[in-house]
Formats: sequence, C-alpha cells, structure tokens
Amino acid sequence: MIDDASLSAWCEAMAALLDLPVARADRGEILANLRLIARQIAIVAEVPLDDLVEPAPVFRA
Amino acid sequence: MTLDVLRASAGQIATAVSTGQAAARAVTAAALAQVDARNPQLNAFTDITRDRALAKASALDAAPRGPLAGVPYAVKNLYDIAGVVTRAGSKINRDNAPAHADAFVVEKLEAAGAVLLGALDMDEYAYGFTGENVHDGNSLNPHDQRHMTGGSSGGSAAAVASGMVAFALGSDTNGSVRVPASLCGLFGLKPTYGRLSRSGVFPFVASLDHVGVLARAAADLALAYDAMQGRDAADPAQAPREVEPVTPLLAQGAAGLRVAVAGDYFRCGGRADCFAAVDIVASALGVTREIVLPSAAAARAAAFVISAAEGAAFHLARLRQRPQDFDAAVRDRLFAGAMIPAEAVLRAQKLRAWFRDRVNALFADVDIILTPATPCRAPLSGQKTIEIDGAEVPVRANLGIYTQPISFIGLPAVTVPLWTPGEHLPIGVQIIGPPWREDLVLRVAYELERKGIARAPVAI
Repeated sequence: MIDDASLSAWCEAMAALLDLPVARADRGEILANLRLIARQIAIVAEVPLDDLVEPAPVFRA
Repeated sequence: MTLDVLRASAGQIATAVSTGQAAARAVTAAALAQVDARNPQLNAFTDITRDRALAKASALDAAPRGPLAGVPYAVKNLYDIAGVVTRAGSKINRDNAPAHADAFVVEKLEAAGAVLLGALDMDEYAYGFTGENVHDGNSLNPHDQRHMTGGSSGGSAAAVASGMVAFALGSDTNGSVRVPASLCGLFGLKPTYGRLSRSGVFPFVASLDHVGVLARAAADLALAYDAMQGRDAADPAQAPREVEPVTPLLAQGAAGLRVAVAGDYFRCGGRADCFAAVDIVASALGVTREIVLPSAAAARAAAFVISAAEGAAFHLARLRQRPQDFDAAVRDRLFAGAMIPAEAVLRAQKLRAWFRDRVNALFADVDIILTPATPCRAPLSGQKTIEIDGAEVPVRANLGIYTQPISFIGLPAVTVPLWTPGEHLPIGVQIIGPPWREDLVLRVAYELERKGIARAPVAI
C-alpha cells in the first residue's frame, strides 16, 4: 500500500511534469482518486503475466 | 390513427407507417408532444430537432420506406447531428462549431426511415455511471424520479423508458448502455468492439468505445442494429466484416444454445436481488451450469486503469487550458488518470490480451454467459456511494463492476430488464456472447421477452 505522503509527492511531481493546473483545493479529491487507481493497479499486479504477453490494444476475434 | 405511439415498439410503428395505417407526421407529433410533456421533469433531451423531425416525417408520408419508417428516436449528445453542437455532456465543447454532418450510424438510421427528435443528456465526456451532469442537469429515472437513470447514457434511457422515443443510441465504454438499461428497465445492446462505426461520435476511451442501443423490445434492438451495420473507412477500429442481419434469426430463440451462469467474481459484491435476477433468467432457460471467467476482478481493475489513463491522455489539452470548465468530479478523476505510470498501463493492456484469450476459450464449451448487469437497482439521484462487498464505494465509478470486464475484451452483450414482485424499480441481467455473435445474445433476449421473463413497460 502506498502511503499518503508518497502519493502526495507523486501528485505534485506529475502535476509539474505534465503542466497540470492542479488547484490546492482539488488536491484531496485527486489524491482520493489516486488511491483508488493504486488499488486497481495492485489488483492487476496480482495476476502473473509472462513478459511476452502481447498487449495489443485492439480487440480482434 | 389507433397506434399507441408512446407504447408501441419500433417494429409496430414502422409497420403502421409503411402500410399507411399511421402517418409519420402524426407519429412524430405525438412523440414530440410527449417530449414536451415529460422532458421538463426527466431532463432527457438537451437539444430537440423539431423542424428536422417534422420535415423528415412529411417526406416519409409522401414516400414511406425503410425498416424503421417513421420511428422516433434520439441520440446521446456525443453523436454528431448536422447543425447541432456535439457537446458530449460538457461545457467546453459548447464552444465548438455545429457538426457539419450526421455521424455515420445516424446517417444509416436516417436511411432506414427513422425520425431523429434530438440529442440526449449524459455524464460529462461519458466518464461516469450515474446520468448526472452539472452543466445540463441530471437525467431522472422515469420509473421513480427520486432515483438516477444510471449513465453515462442517462438521457437515452430516460427518453426510451418514458415513451418519448421508441429507441435511442447510447455509447458504451465500460457499461454506459448496459448500466442505464438495467436501472431504467430497458433492453440494451453493446455489440462486439469494431462492429459498428464510431465516426462522428465524440470519443472517451477509443480502445474501449462502442456504439450501442437502448429500446423497449429485443426486436427493436435488432432492427436498429441491423440498420446501423455497414463498412466505414473513417473508423480505423471497425472490423472488415460483411453486414450480418440478426432480425431474421430472432425467432430461433434460445433453443440449442449452451448457456452458463458466471460464478466467482460475478456472484460477489452486489445486492442479493441482482443475483436473484440472474437465477430467474437461468431458471427460465433451464440453465444449471456455472463457469468462471478467470481473474475477472483483475480484468475490471485493468479496464479501470486503462480508462483513467487513456481518457486523461485524450483530454490533456483541455485539462491544461480550461480546468475550471470541467465538472470538478470528472476533472479530478482525469487529473489522477494523467498521473498513472506507463508500466501500470502496459500491464493492464497485457492483462487485457491474456483475459481475452482465456474468456474466448470458454466459448468452445458455451454459447452464452449470464451475469448481473448492475450490482443494485437504481440508487437515489445524487447518492454518492453504494455498498460493494461491505465497503462504501463511489457510485460514479462502481455501478459498472459487472459490465467492465466484458467491454474490456469487446464481447457483445445485451441487458434484459426484470421486474420482481414487491419492487418498483427494475434490474437488469447481462447476456454475453462470443465475438461477432450479436445474433445469439439477441436471440436469448428475444426468448426471455417472449416468455414474459423480461419486459420493458413505459413509465407514462
């Protein structure tokens, strides 16, 4: 689990890197969304995937 | 004219108009009157194309033609309508010029004789499952206006469920047709990814976006779907397939099909009545088999990550230039999505291919998979959280927990509406088929409607 301080630092760094005008008042909500995304990333990471799995983005039957 | 326009199916209207039993202009006028009467309460429409509709109806009365002759319909306001600004639920897009032409699928419906009444409310940029919009107002559930429609095709569901139109187009990235169909008691179709052209449709997550339909009858889904098929080089993700009409196949019903209920992930998290609805459908179809879609929770999580990252990438310039003009809740989700590391997105894409291959393999043994469409009936309008697995989670992000793993790999799916004793709101069951087999999911939906298990009464 990522701690809040690390998440906040990530948010600040990425906002600067991407030139995103994140208002101070919005920071809490963005961090809440980042926590939710971090949980989803952790769920995905639980599935063992081979390095050679092809991540083609377009579905083809 | 004896046709009850507000309750009639698209097929019934088209037959009446084509045979001269009803005038298209009278049908259109009745539908527009219903829009005038109900829209102020339900907030389904954002634009009403009255003059266009009446002109089209007059032309049809002079020469009625097409399988949807005289059928009133409307489209989510992310579809291009010539002369109308494609707002996609946003404030920002209102500054764009009006569309110069109809979206490809709107052109196809027009050619089939359908009569467009206007554009419909939606979650901003299709990023939400509630049907709520801070700029245009919330669409409300016609069966009980204290409740939400679900989204993001909320206006589409409200318009069809209230009898304003016979069918409506929505779009479905993670469940945005199937969720409002479930909450508003409608049949909803999301075809296979790549089946229908999306040119002239404002994107959300291009690698997951689908054109979809909501209607009050399974046969009407088939009529609209058949009319919209056809090759369009302007959509690079459209597959090179011939038109494959499904309407002539509906009467085959579910006979001979191997049907299974999805277990594990799809039997957890939701309220008991969403699983009871699946059991009712399974019983009606004589289904006893259960199968497991491997790592479905991870598939849903991966769809969540890809949607957040890809949606944010698409909107990055708007986020930089006009952050104050977004719905704050959407903006903050997109800001967070923009910050996702590449490794996480790539892993989610790998999981997508892995999950697709494993689920496709299941279709060697089954033809149809049943799951809940939503984890609950319609929450109250404005409600912020629902309970999933004992935890309070945001409504906006979680009404699609059972639809997301399916659109994630592009499978065709239909939601059918069930009404159970003692409940005044419906709940949907999701019918899933193999790639390119829209005929199978629609045949099962048609069979359930014919048996009286699924039905979509108008909320007048």
